[in-house]
Amino acid sequence: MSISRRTFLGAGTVLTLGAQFPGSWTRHAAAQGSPGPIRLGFQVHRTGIGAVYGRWYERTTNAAVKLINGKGGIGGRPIEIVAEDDGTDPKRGAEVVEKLATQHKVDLIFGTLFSHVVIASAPRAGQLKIPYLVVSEGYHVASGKLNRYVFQPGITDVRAQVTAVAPWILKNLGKKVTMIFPDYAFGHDHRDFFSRVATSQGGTISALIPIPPTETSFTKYFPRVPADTEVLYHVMVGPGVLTFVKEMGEHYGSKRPKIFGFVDSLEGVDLASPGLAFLEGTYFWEAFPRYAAANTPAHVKTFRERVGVNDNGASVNDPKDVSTFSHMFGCWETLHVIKAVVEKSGYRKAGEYRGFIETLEGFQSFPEGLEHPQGAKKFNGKLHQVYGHQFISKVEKRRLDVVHRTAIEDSMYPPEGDYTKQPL
Amino acid sequence: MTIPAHAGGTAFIQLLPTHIYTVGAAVTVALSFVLVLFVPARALVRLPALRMRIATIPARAHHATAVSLASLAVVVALIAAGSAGSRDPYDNPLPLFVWTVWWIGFTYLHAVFGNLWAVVNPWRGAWSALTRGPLAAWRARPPLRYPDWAASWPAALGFALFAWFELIHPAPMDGAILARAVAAYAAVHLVATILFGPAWLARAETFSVFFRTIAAVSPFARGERRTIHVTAPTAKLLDAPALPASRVVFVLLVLASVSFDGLSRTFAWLTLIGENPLAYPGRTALMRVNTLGLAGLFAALAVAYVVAVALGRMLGGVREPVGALVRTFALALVPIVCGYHFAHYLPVFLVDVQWAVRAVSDPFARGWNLFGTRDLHVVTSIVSDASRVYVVWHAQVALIVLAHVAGVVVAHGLAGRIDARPRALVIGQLPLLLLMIGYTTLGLWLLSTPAVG
Repeated sequence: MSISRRTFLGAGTVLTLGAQFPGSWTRHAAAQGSPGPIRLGFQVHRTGIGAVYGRWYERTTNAAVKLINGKGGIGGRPIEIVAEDDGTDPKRGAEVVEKLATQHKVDLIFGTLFSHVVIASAPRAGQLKIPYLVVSEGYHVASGKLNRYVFQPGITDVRAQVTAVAPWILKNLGKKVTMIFPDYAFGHDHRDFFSRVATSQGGTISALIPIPPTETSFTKYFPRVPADTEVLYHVMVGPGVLTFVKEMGEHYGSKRPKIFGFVDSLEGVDLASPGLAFLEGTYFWEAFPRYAAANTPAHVKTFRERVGVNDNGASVNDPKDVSTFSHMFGCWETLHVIKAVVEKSGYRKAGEYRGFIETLEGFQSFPEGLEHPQGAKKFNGKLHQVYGHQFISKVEKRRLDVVHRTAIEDSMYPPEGDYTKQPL
Repeated sequence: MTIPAHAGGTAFIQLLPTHIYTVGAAVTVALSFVLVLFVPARALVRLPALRMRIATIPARAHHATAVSLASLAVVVALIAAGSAGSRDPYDNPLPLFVWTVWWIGFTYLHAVFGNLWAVVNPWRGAWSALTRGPLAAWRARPPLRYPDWAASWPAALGFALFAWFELIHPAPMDGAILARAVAAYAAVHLVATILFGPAWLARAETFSVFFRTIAAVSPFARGERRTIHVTAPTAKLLDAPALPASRVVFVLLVLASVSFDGLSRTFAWLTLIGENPLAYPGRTALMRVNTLGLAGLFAALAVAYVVAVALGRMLGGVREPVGALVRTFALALVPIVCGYHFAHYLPVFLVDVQWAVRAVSDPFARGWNLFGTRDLHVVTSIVSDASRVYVVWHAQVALIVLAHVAGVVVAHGLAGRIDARPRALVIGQLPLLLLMIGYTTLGLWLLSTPAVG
């Protein structure tokens, strides 16, 4: 794995330099029988349908490891990444977890994104009793349905995202909402979470319009949007997205309701792409603003530089290659959470996880900064889920400009589980 | 599912009036049939003779042996890299070499330059070296005689297994798994080549048969006394002997496998097998149904081809037996095989060949930078930026159409070789023409319809 190799070599340089100074960590540790590098298993969607996300997760991980190792590693130990491709295949996901734990003997595992892979892999991590830190955005961790060893400390979940933006939508865009969503679990999460919050806060759902996942033309669905609709909430995904937007434009023309979407629909896609002109003036949820602005904090600029992303959220070396900006920061923040927990808990070696898990469960917040560039976080140790700010952006001149940042508390919902009651 | 499928390059294609392209392509292929009728079939048959000597190969036999032995060394090194190198399939040179440089890229090279595999295969050199030394007696008379009845059936079976591994196995990109597969394949054919002599390579080794088949569309040909000639592309097919049944099956298998690679990703296929394409369940879950799909598509294609030929024979009043016609007209499918291969793999080739260039600098994940390419930034916007996606897509469409036009022309020439009466040439060719138009339409549909990954 190039990232393990390079980052490890980078750390090696640090160690070599360190060795020239008396009392440095290397000598000290060597005298005590150094535990060597901390080996982190990276379950990555290198191939399969998650490959676009996987590529950026890898780049972000690479950059975070380089940064951490450049500053002396974790508790003086350099990070060594051991990556395994799971093909975005749930069955292989479980095999990868086992392989990382038993063959590669990593200290812990992180990085899984696609929900069905997380759901298939998490039980294996629980059986093997190895911490499994996912970067998935799914509600599955906070739902309480996984196990004590599974955490999501670097990215917020979809329920929190929807919960956070709902009040702003009702207050600023309108109270009568029609939802257009793909008719399967992803769309159902939006339908259920948003409907629940909206109706409890004085909004009404004018209509729910599920679209079959195999649909390629959407013109017949728009007439079903009630005329009194004030807000059209859309979360279409897949290869039909551009067609959906184009046909929505053809249906409405200039007279349209307010329109709100989730950037998940267009992660990795240039807003200036053909077919997307109708989005001008509409709103999107973003986890982390893709486009840099005048008030972008210094640590976010550093994050962009380190990962190799320009002010448009695209690759510095390939400016037409748009990143998955609203997701990939999760790897960076997860690695910094691992660093904080290992250093605080005194974790030393694989198998001895009680301290690591209880320490992570004891964390209540993470401050905004280079370690957490997306913003400050609150951590719920019982749910194993982190909560943070959400961003609402408006499409202006084929870019996304942030118009609102929610408070962390806006995203909180009543807990449905408590992992700390499960035995270790 | 929280993270849905990425919109991807196919999203841009959905905005194009792809049905107009499809109709245009079908009409072009039909028109090419009308136009080629004005070319006397006899003139086409003479086309391969119109060739020009352009060079004489300076190399001698021992040079070829050295190249093949070097190739064997590369294979051994790649197997080692697959086993001991990076676990990242895009950082390990073995999967990138096998699936991108060799399976896609070498095929491209063969279609353009001719049969390079005859020289660079990793077995011929070992056989030459051994039979010049300790096994000299085996040169004239190998210990085993390759049975004629076996024809190219082992090659066809080998291709079926290869296609299954590529399209259906859960992890063909896994370096360690691939290393075992390549090692086993190389070892089996090394032993068999030594035991059976070069006849084994000529008839039984899958890729010797595959690359020789592909090389038939190349304008370059080996002549006598190490000369190289140039002729019209695909012209060599016009005077090629009819294929044995095993190679007809081989050609149909290749065409079916590349087609199924496209088909199995389409929303239409996933819907047919009851899967939600937006929540693609991964390869493991689809192994059984995709195995059936691959076999089914091959069977459907084979039946369609044989029926088209038999119907053409009947309508054209041709006296040759059906079997002979099936074996002859299979040559006309070869340009289509090439066109599908070129078009289908073009986007993935353009991206993954960059990963290969990168990986080769550090094959064993040791921090080397042998060729200075270790940190090359792989440009992936070829498959994600609209304007670039459109360029690649139009190239793919052009390749599919060109290949089918070539197929029509070659079929016309082959028909003239068998029966030059107008009835045989016009009416007798209609069913095959319809099949080719159908396959053009399928090709464009595969390029245009919503698909995953």
